[in-house]
Amino acid sequence: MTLASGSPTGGGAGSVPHSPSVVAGAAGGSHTGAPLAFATRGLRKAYGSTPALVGLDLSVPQGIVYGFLGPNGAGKTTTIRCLLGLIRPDGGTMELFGRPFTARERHRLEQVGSLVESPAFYPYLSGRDNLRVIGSAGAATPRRRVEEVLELVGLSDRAGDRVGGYSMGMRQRLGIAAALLSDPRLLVLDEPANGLDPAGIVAMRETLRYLAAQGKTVFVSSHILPEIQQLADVVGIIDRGRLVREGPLDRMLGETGHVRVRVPPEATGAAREALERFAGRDAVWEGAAQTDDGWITVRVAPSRSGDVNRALAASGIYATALESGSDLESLFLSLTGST
Amino acid sequence: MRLLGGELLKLVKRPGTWITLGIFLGILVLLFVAVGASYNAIVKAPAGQGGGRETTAAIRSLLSFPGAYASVAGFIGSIGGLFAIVFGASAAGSDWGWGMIKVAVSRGESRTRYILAKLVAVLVLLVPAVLVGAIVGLGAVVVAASISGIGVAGAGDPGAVASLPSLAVRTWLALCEQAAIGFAIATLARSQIAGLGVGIGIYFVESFAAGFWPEWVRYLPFSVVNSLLREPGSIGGGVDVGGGAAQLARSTIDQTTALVLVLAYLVASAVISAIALERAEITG
Repeated sequence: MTLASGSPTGGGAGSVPHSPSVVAGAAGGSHTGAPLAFATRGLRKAYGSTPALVGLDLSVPQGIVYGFLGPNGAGKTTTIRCLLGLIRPDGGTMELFGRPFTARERHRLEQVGSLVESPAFYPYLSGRDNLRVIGSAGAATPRRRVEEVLELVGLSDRAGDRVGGYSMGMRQRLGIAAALLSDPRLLVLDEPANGLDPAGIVAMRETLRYLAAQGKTVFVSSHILPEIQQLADVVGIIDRGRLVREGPLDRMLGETGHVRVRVPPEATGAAREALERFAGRDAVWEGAAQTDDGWITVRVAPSRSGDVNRALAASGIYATALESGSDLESLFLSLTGST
Repeated sequence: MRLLGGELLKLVKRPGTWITLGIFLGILVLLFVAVGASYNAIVKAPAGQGGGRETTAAIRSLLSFPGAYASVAGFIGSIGGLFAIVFGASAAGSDWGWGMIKVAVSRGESRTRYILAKLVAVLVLLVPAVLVGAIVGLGAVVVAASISGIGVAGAGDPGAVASLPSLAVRTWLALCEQAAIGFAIATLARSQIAGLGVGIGIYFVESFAAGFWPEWVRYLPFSVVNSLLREPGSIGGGVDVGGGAAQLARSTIDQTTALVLVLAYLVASAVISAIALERAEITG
């Protein structure tokens, strides 16, 4: 399979079984399923007087795709930097593959592949030479592995070209190739879809699912919520340096469905009052992800869409449109108070 | 060795490496040829103009073999030292600029091993730089000696030829020390530009201070290089060309002490670089 193509050449999404979801506990709790690839307990980090992490408890099971979500400045990149030994936490503990992980054991990061923030390369070197240079640090990398990962990300044809001439998407793909160089057990990717075209995003998703099906753990930090919704088995949502929710995505979405109704603009106020009486004040908000005026979102199970419609009708308001579902965006917005 | 190979690949393929070497060689050639070309003009100048006998004697000493071997080594060690600072600082600083430090560290590589491999790669590449500089410099001396009519007699002097390996090693050590200082400053500052600016700044401040406190400054990193490269009767290797014997004695130290100090500054730069990277929070 290749990130350059929308259609995998082998082992694609169609043939990759979706990894079984691992039962995850609430924030700070323990997972009861697969052993953990990575975990933090009470992780703290501040930059000067600005706290970035204030007791983060994260549990990333092995062999799954873990979606790590949070608003800007929530502490996602700080968490990844701590994991990768780039910065030292002020407090708390980390575990890597079930064993305590400290700065003295950096060599264990040879089992971890990563792409942090924007991919970094020497612009005057070719893609192939960049991978050779990167492969010279850390875990031993056979020369044939460089060719394998170039093939995997669809850059074999341009591997001899200088990276300075690469597009952003090509650099991103080369960054993913670099992360895969050591055939890591844990893959940590920060916004991996940045710069990829739609076909590249689909191919990347299939590649990551394929890797998870091979038993590898994929930890993806992203702002693109629909992407995570399509990709992740387990999701962790972080806000202001603290985990606010963690668990299997399917279960989370099942608990946090929504119904959206559209009413005539002049009836918006009355409709909102009716729906607040029906579902409670905190469960109703206007707009959210919808761009048109007149949309009201109610946090109730999708199966209750008829009840929502009846509540409106009882107040003499008739919806002009109604939709229901479960999406990560609604959950994210409600948990992080971003509405 | 794997790590060293990667670092060498980076440096060899970096355009800045060749640009730095090219500019250095150009200046080296220009200096000697200009000195040779000016010799005849000074000799033919009317009495009281052009600097007189002292200047022509200095030029003859500079361009005459076997002393010219030391002259070339001296220029490589002093002027080349500036380029060594540039080379060392850019080798260390560019990794911060391009964000490549985080890539190596996050792969589980030992920070100390990484930074030392990078420094060793710089020092290894200074070996061909010294050899190429010596060949080009001696070629320029031959041209300059021919222009000036001084000639190249004495180039095959057995004693001088036998001492060339030692001279080459000392020149290399001199460049290593200066490159390592630029390297350490850039690592501390996490910036190529800062490494270049501060390194070159210290170089000139030290040269300037030598005029006021020569007995102290002679122990400082860029001045010990002059003592290390000084050959009896040579002009090269010093910023104090034309100084008297007493002044020379005050501004230089014996070669063994100079060698020990050069090695000490080299090791100290390596240790500082390693400690700086070990303690660094890599957020860029």
